[in-house]
Amino acid sequence: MRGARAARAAQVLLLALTLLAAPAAASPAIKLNVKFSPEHLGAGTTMIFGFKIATPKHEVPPPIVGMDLLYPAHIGLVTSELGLKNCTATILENIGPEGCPADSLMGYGTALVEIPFGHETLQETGQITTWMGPLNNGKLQLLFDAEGQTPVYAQLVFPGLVAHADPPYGGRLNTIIPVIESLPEAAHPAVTQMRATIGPMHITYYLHSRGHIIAYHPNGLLLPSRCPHRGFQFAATFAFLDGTHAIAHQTVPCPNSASHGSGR
Amino acid sequence: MTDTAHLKYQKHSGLEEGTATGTLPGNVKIRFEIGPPVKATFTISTSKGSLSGTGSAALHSAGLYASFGGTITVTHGTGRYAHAHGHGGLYGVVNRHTYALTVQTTGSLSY
Repeated sequence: MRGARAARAAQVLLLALTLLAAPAAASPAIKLNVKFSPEHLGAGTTMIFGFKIATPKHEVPPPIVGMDLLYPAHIGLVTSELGLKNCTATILENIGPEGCPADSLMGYGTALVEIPFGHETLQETGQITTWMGPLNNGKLQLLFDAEGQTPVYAQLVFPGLVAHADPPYGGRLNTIIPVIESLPEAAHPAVTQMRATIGPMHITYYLHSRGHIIAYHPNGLLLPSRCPHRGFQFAATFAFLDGTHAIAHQTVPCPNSASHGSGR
Repeated sequence: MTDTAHLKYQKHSGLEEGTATGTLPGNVKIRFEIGPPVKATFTISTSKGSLSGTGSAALHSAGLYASFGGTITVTHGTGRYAHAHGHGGLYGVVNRHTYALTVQTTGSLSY
């Protein structure tokens, strides 16, 4: 009996020592930054989405391999008048963004990439364009093209699928992000900051009418005419290459003098 | 029964409004939301009463013209259709530039 108790105590001690010796990898801290521009209820807008990753000792974080962005209800991508045409991953990879129809452009952005290089960390700013892709199993598909030129040339094309989300959210954009390849045996580059738009800001579409081409700005994401009770709630879950996850939340407050409710 | 409606977006109300032809002709008002998924609440007003219900559908395409298909449920009514209930298919196409909407419903209705 005593022997069994001693063995059990030893097992508990061993488990405790194991936990102390191998702490779970801590995920980096992420700050989400979302805003609308302009911010008028019942009117079209551009959603400006960004995040910034902070690590305890300012080391390069593990690369993000997935992002699930939850956004408020009653913000319809389809009714935005954005993405009236489609681009494809094949066009983006083989020709580049210039091969896509102008009316498939959904937004722009930039991403700061940190590249471990020996004892140094190099920084590179990549350009992002977002395109309407073909439906994927009945779901809206956005295609992201991210390109960096120097010091490392890289082009990534990756999809984001739009799906329903339970309240207090209305939809989710689920994105799987490929890892950026760098030097052999070097640590992977990682995106540490990103800012991107989905909306008509700096976007021009073209309408063919009676032999003329008319340039216009699409309406954009239509904000509901009533503000949600607790403001526009966003959340994002980030998955890292090392298996850790981080969640960030943000609420965009209602515009001043906004009425509250749940209607469109 | 089968009905087809051609509707225009009314900016002041946020509703799609128009007329339906077919088994149950009348004036149609739809609150139409194309998120993931497509959702609709509708009312058909006829000379003998009105029918109301909900619908949900999945997108089939999403270019300039977004097409969708799903189901519709009649939940209540007024007048002759006060005890109406039924269900069926919901199909349609919306012009994403003008928001012009064409909807076809087909199914069974009891009243």
